[in-house]
Formats: sequence, C-alpha cells, structure tokens
Amino acid sequence: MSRKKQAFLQLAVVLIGLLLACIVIMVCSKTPLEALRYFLTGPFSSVYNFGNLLSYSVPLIIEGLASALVFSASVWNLGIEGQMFFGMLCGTFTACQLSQAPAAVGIILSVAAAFAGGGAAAWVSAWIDRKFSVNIMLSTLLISNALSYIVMYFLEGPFNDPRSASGTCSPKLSTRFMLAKIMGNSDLHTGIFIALACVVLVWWFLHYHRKGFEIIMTGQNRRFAEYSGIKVDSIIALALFLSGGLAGLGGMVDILGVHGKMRCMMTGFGWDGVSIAMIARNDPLLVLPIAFIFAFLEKGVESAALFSDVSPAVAQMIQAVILFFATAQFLFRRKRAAGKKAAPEGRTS
Amino acid sequence: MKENPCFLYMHDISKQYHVYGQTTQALDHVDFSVRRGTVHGLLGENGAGKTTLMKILSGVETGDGGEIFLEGRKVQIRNAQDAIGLRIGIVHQHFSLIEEFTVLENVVLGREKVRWPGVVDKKKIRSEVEETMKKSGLVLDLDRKVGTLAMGEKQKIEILRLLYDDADILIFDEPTSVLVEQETRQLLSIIRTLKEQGRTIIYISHKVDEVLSITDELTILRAGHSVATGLTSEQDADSIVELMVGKKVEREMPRLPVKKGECLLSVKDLSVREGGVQRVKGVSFEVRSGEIAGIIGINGNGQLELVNAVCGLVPASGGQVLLKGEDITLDPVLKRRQKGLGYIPEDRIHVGSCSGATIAENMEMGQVENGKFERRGCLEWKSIRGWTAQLISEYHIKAPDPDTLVGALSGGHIQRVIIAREFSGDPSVLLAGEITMGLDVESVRYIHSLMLKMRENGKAILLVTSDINEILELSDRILVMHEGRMTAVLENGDGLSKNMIGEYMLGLKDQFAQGSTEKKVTLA
Amino acid sequence: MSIWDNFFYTMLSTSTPIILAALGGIMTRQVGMFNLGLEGMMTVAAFVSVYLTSITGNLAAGLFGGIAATVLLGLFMAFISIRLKADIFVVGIAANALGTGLTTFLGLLLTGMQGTMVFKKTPVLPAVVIPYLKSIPVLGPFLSGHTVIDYLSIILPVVLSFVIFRTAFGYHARAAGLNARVAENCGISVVRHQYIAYVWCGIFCGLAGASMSMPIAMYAGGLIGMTNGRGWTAMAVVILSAGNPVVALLASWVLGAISALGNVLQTNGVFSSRLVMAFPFLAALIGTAVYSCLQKRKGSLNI
Repeated sequence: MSRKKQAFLQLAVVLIGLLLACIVIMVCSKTPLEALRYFLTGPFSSVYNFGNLLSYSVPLIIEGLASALVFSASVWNLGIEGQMFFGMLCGTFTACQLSQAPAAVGIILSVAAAFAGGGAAAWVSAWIDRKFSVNIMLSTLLISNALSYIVMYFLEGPFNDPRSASGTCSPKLSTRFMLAKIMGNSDLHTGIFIALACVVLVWWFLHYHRKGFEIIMTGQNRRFAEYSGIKVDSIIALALFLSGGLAGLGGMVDILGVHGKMRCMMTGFGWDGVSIAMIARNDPLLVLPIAFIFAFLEKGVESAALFSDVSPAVAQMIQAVILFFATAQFLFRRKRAAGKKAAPEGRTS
Repeated sequence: MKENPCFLYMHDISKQYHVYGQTTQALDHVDFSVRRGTVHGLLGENGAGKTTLMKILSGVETGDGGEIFLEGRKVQIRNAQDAIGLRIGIVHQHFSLIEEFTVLENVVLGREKVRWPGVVDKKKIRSEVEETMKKSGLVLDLDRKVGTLAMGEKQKIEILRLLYDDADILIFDEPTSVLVEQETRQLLSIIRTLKEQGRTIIYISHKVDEVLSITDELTILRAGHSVATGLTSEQDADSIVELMVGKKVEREMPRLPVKKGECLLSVKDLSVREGGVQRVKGVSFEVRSGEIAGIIGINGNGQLELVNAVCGLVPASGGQVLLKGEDITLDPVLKRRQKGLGYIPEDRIHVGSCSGATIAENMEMGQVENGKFERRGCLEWKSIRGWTAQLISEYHIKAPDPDTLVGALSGGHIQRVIIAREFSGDPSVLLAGEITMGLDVESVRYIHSLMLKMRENGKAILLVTSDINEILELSDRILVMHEGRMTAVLENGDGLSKNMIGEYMLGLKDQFAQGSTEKKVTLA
Repeated sequence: MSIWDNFFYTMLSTSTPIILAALGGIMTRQVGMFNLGLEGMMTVAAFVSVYLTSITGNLAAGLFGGIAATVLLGLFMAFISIRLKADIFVVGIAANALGTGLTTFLGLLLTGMQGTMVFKKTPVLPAVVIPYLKSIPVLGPFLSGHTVIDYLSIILPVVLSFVIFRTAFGYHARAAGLNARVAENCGISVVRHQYIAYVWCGIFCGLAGASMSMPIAMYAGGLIGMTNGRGWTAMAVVILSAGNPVVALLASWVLGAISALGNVLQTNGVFSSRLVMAFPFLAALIGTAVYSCLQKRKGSLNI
C-alpha cells in the first residue's frame, strides 16, 4: 500500500473519531444541538477563539514531532512528558538569570537551554542502556516520573515565586522575552512559525539527511543497520537527544508565547504528543494536521463545556479511542502475528 | 467426485498467500494420494508448494479449497489438534521445539497428562515417554534443555513426539537439510523401521538422490501444480530434475583453475565467546586471492559466530583477523567494510536486508559514510534511484522499479539485491553464509556463476554452507568445523568423499587434535 | 505502633497495588504481550469499585464490579491487539489515556465531582484484625490489620507461581509466549491463551485499583492521580522478576519499603514530600540496572 494511501486512511480514522465525539456530545447533553454547535463552531467563532486554537496547537505539534522522530528509530521514549518538563525548567531558569539581556539573546538562549535540558534528560537513558543494559522504554519512563517530582520540588521550593497569586510557579520572565502576539488579543504568537519550521525541518531531516536516513533504517531493522556498518548506539543516543530536546523546546515556546512563567502542573502535552505521533505513524507531515485536530478537540469540547453541559473529559476520551484504532493493521492487510513484539527485557532490541 | 481407494487422498487443494500487497498462488488445485504403508516422496524445487501442502495436511495451515479423505472418509483438518487426533504428525524443517523447555516437556507439549486440578503428572509422562523410547530405539536425555542439544538430537525429539502420539502418517519436511552423512543414514534406517511397523511416511525433499533411495512412490510438484506421480523404481534422476524445473537443465559450469594470488584474509587463532560459552576455539586459516574457501559444519558448530567475528558484528575474545595484511581485529564493522570486506549474511530477511524499505533504500545502505550520493550530509535520491535502476537490470532483479519494497520480492531476488549491494562496494574479500539456501534452481545457478566470476577476478571468498554438494562444487579448499574448532583443511579434488568430510564434521577425525585422532562417538 | 511496626505495615500496604498490577503484567508477558496499560486499568478499577460501593452500599458489589469493569477493558484491549492487529504498545498507552479520560468523564457525569472525589456515607474496606496473626511475636503488629486485598496480594503470587510452573495451562501459556508457531503446531491455541491472559490481567489490576480507593472511599483522578505511576513501577517489577511471581512479590516489597522509608524521611523533615515521591522510580531504575548487570555476568540475558 502506498504511503499516500496510508496517510489518507490515518486521517479517515481521525475524522471518524471526531464524528464519534459529536455523537457522544449530543448523547450526553440535555441540549444536544446547542452543545454540538458550540463544539464545532466555538473555536472558530471569533478571531480570539481561533487564535487560541492555533496557539494551543503549537506545543502539540512540537511534542508530536519529538515523539515521531524517536519512534522512527523504534526507540520507545515514553518519558517525553518529564523531559519536556525538565527542559522547561532549564529554559525558564536561564531566562530568569538573563533578565537584563536583550530580547533576542534571552529568547535564543532560553530556548537552547530548554532543548539541551530535555535532550540531556532523554540522552541519559541511552547511556544507561549502553552501560547497564536497562531497557530504554523503562528507563525513560522511570526517569521521567522521578524528574517530574524533582522539578515540582524546585517550583514549589527554591525556584518559587512567593508573590504569585496561585503560589506554585516560577518567577515571571521579562516581558521582552515574550514572543510577539500576532492575532489580535488572542494567545497566538510567533511560536506558530517556529512550530511550522520544526515540521519542515524534521521531515527534511528524516528523509534527506544521512543521519535521519540512518535513524529510519535503524528503526526498520536494527540488525540490518548494524550489519551495514551504522553505529546503532550513537544513532539511538542521537534520536533520544533530539526528541528530548524538541520536547523541551515545545514546552519553552509555549511559555515564551503564552504564559510568561512556568507553572507547577503537568500539562499532558508530552503524552498528547506521543498519541499524535502514533496516530500519524511517525510521519512529520501528518503530525501537523493531527495535532491541529487534537487541539480542535480540546478547544471545541472546552467551548461546549463552557456554554453547555458537556464534560471537558470528552476530548481526552475521544483521543484515546482514536489512538486505539490508529495502528489497527487490519486496515492494511499486512500479515503480523499478534503480540509478536518481544518483551522489552534487557538490552533494547 | 472421484472415489479414490487410496489411504490418503488430498483433492483439489489450493492456497494463496498475501504478503506486502503481492498475492502468491502457492498451490493450484493439487491432487495428492498416498497408499498405506508406503514411503511416498514429495519432490519439488524450493517454493514449489511441498511444505504448504503438508502444512495443510498437518493442520498448521488451512487450504482455500479442496477436500481431504482418509480411508475413503472425508475429514476436516482445521488445526493441529485435528491432525493429531487423526494420527497425522509432521517433523518440521524448522523444528517445533521450545528451546527453554526440557526434552520431556517438549515431547508432551500440548498433550500433557494431568492430575486434578490441572497439575502435570510428571511421573506418568516420564514412564510413558521412556516406554516409547525403548520401543523405537531412540535414546535421549529427557531432562536436558533443548537449547543445548545438537540438530540431529533435536530432530529425534520431534520423531519421538510423533511416536508418543502413535502417529500413523508421518511427514518429514526436508529432514536431512541439517544432518551429516552418518546422521542421514541413521534417519533413513529409522524411517525403514517405521515403515516395517506399518506406518505411512511422506518424505519431502528437493534432493533427488535421497528420494530415489528411500521412497516407494513419488509425486513431483512445480510452481503449485502436481506435474507427475508414480513408482520410484520407474524414474531416473535426470527426468525427475527436468520435471521439477520445467526445462532441460544443463550441468553447472565447471570450476576453472585460477591462479592463486597473495593472501587477502588471514585468521589467526580466533576465539569467540558468546552467552558464556566458547563458540569458536582458536581457529586459524587463510584465504588467498582467486580462491573460494568453503567452511562446512553441522549447524551450530561455530561457523556463524566465526563469520560474524570476521565481519565485526561480534567481538572476538582472542586471536587476530588480518585483511590484506592489516590487523582489523578491533575495527568496527564500518571500517572493515571500507577496507574491502563484504558480507552476505545467512539470514537475508532479518539481517541482510530491510523488507519494509525500497530497493533504492537498501542499496543506499551499502554506502554508509561513503559519501558517494550525498552532498554535505544531504542524500541525492535521484542519483541513488538511477544507480539502483542500473543494478536492477544488471543483476536481473525481478522488480518493476527502484521504489519496490524489498519484502515483495522472492527469496532469490532479495538475495540478488543483497549481492548487488555488496558487489558494488568492490570488496576484495567476500564472506558469504548459506548463500543459496531455500532458493530456486535458476537463482542458485546464477549466484554460483557470480561467485565463480568473482573468484576469476582475483577476489577471495569465504563461503559458509551446510550443503555438501554446494561446497564440493564451488570451493578450492574445504575447511571443516566441529564444536568450534577446525578439524580439517582439505584440498578439493579427486579422492575427497562426502563420507570423509562427514567424519570431520562429526569430530570422529581431527587433523589438528593433539594425541589420538580417532574419537569414539556413539550414535544412538 | 512503634516506628518499625509502622514502617513494615506501610511497606506491606504500599506494595499491594504494585504486586497485584505486576501479577497482571506477568500474565500477559507470559503469552508474549507486553501490557503498557496497567495504569489505565488500575484507574478504572479504582473509580468503578468505589463508585459502585457508594451507590449500592455493598463492598462486595463494588469490588466485583470494579474487577468486572477492568476485565472488560482488558478484553477490549486484547481484541484490538489480536483481531485488529494494532500495535500492542500503542494499545497500552491508549488504555492509560482512556482510563484517565473515562474516569474523569464518568466521575463528573455520575457524581458531579471532579478531581479528588470523596464518597461520603460509603462503607470503607475494613482492616482485618486476625487475632492469631496479631499474637506472633515481632511480626504480629504489622501482619495483622490489613485489608482482605492486602492478604490476597501475598497469597496470590504463591498460587500463581504454582499455576505457571506446574500445571498444563501454565506450560501452554508459556509456550505460547516463548514461540507462538511451535505452540500452534502442538495444538495450543495461542489466541485463546492471549485472551485469557488479559482476563487475568483485568482481575489482578482490578484488585490493585480497588485496593487503593476502597479502603479510604476516595478517588483522585487527573494526570497525577491515585495510581501515581505505580503502573510503571509494576512494569519494572515484571521485567525484574523475569515472570516469576514470587520474585515479583519480593521486589514489590522492596519498593514498598523504599516508599515507606521515604515517608519516614519526609515526616522527619529530611526530604520534601515531592522529592520523596521520586524515590520509588529511582529505586526501580537502580534495581533493574543491578539485575541487568548480574544477568550479563551470568552470561545469559534472560530466559
């Protein structure tokens, strides 16, 4: 089956999911048509809402790319959420230290710090795998969970802003560092261009750059890659570093664009990115529309919840249902025994 | 509907496979009948459909159409359990054994006798299996983990399992592909014993001589069709081969004498340790330019580990590997390739190629850090595809274009892709493992001619194979391995017999052993 | 109770959900399917069991209802992986997402509550005081006073160990996981064993989830909810134990001990509560590293 046809089928699955969302919303609401209207049109009803919708998709796109890149190498980095969180801390900390610097310097350095921080948090798992043969999926998971708590400790303790109203967040960043708003008084900021640039960059990297090609081939057949002379260990480390870095980048762009400070809460963007990448079957170009649809699901349901009696949890449920069917091979008629995936014991292989 | 007085009658059997978007007709309305108490040979090339037909009979696969009759009665065989119930059993080509379980556990797997509440009755099972062993003359250590046994032993477990089930129809699928001369003779005598017990044997093979010697009747399959059937005594080898292949087959090109040049590959005292066990124990040999050195041994005696160590996929625990005089023992795989080492691996699907990638992508993998088709890290796919198209025509690869997925190709053509890729790097030394295993006759001939051409061009080839005919045909020198050691280095010529080679393969004789060269080994 | 009694008591009760979820993971791993959705299954069980208890007033109904719901989820996951041939890892992650989403959704729909839900006027899973156990010197004070599920979590691994290694069912299930082709050739239905494994996983995760919510008649949802990453530590235990239930029990106790230790350190002000929550994950990581090193030294990497 050609790659184009696959892409269409993936999008079809997602659209069916949206249909399902509509049905659930109508069934659960005492005012079905009104709820549906708010769901479908709410995010588009005004420039403000549309801007917020686009702005919400920015971190989703970048997190999706982060997962898509590392999953292309068949490396199961399930710690994206924690890597993002840690990267955001590094970036915010850097930004606070550089509060007197000019805007460009501040933005670039804090984003770089977020990239480096997230990348390092992910790269550690490659090192642990090489030294101690601990499965990467497990170590990214465990480290990410541990890191999240450590970061929260910092945000509630040493790095806390005592003057803030909510009480659990970092000090505010200098307003010069904030990314310019571009759509009225909505949240939409220039970060959307960064996200789009990332999509192009990741796509180009995977398909046209030598290292990206090696990542994909390693993901397809590791033994073949080894036999061909590819240094598989370095490729895995590279894929992890880049994915952790992108994760941190995504979170930081969101801070610089929307919030201006780091809040002590788990946003869930990392895990959304994992879902998005899986549904997009790791294709960077598909990540873009699917991330947007995920954002639409969230914002639409939010609007329906605000003005009608729909539960905000519908969005997450529908995303999970879509994910369930996204990799169903029966659509592609390929022979594959169920459960053929080896238990990830010892060396990741 | 024809009434057939045969014991076993398979009527109008068809089977299609769909893989990677391609549909293959493995069997096309095949009729197959066997008389009771005979040894019936099922002949055909690799891919002719023999294994598929027998998989349907033994319940491993279900046919797309057709019926099966036993003693005139129609039977349904939907799964392995049905077949076992009908007393049909199969000794698989790739053994159906769980390596981590013991011999006893494997023999009774799926048919364990239990005590309430489901606990396996080990005592009862043990005595029953020991009884079966006594009656059949097969002797095995019931408590050893199967993973530690040799191939011939493993095969005996499968046979024992069939006898424990009291199978009436026993199917042997390419049973001698993993055996040595002496073990083959043993197997054939076991089969004769089974026949004397009144059982019916179906013997699948592509080895004509063997089938002629053991069977009473035979059937020939070609490309999913049954093309001939009759008494063995009325057939001769040449006409059988012609029926199997479909056209007159010439004798293979003879090996021309070639002047040997300098030593290109030198292995000194090489040892490999894997999984806590010493797989290769101090092996030394040389391969010169213009020479094919063939390594033969029973599967699992260290040949694969040896080649992997020479190639760099596995680290050597001792010794040296020298390429053109340069020490490459510590070099990573890439460096060895860059210095002129090529490798065609035994496992062409999981190691030698990427099924999910296109031919062009597979070819490009031969250019890792070569920079031939890239500019500043950026790959130039247009030139890569063009070059791939060239290779496709040069090596007669049956594929429409460079963007075809390798997984859609047949075995012989996947091998051609791999060979094209390795040859394109112009290696001075080529390592090759089981290079024609499972391929059709045409591909085998083609690949053999490529090897001989390389040899004439002054390359050094190290060939690992378990096919004694292939090694006699291609090699200038024959190196025999047994239990990780090299037991013989023989010049290929007159006076060299398969029996001789077999003795070295079994470790009965050893050119390099200190002390006595004769070893008493009991063949149970 | 003295500090040590308190410590061991906490150790036993904290390890309960871990070992139970790990047993579920062991059942699926055995047949060759690695279930990443333990978190989601536990979340569903935790919510459904406490909710059903509150509306029926009956503990047994709540417990069995919670288990039934989890088993249903397990069958659904198995169906999608086996029949629809979806990627097993994806299904696990989707189950986690579904678990969180579904419980939040149903929570709001059925009870009108969000976040941390307190179920008033709901029977609480009682601590069982076994007089015989209590009077054992030294061990007594912390062996007694646990809930039924806690005691099950000690008995079940032993029973399961027996089932896996001594019964025909155990052999067949292991064969199905070690080599599906061979198992089929021997007349074993791999698919049947895979479904059964997911049913058992549902039962064990059901118990695990109920063990968290029922004793306190509360449910906490959200991204860091009641389950709190225990599904992942259970996964580490599954890998560490190489499929052996009794070893898994011991590993869970160690992790429980570390959590309890963290509590002690936290109440004594040595570490902040947040840092303490990171301990179990770091411990599981170190444990797995040590295990892998030992295996490498032994020469064989896991059978």
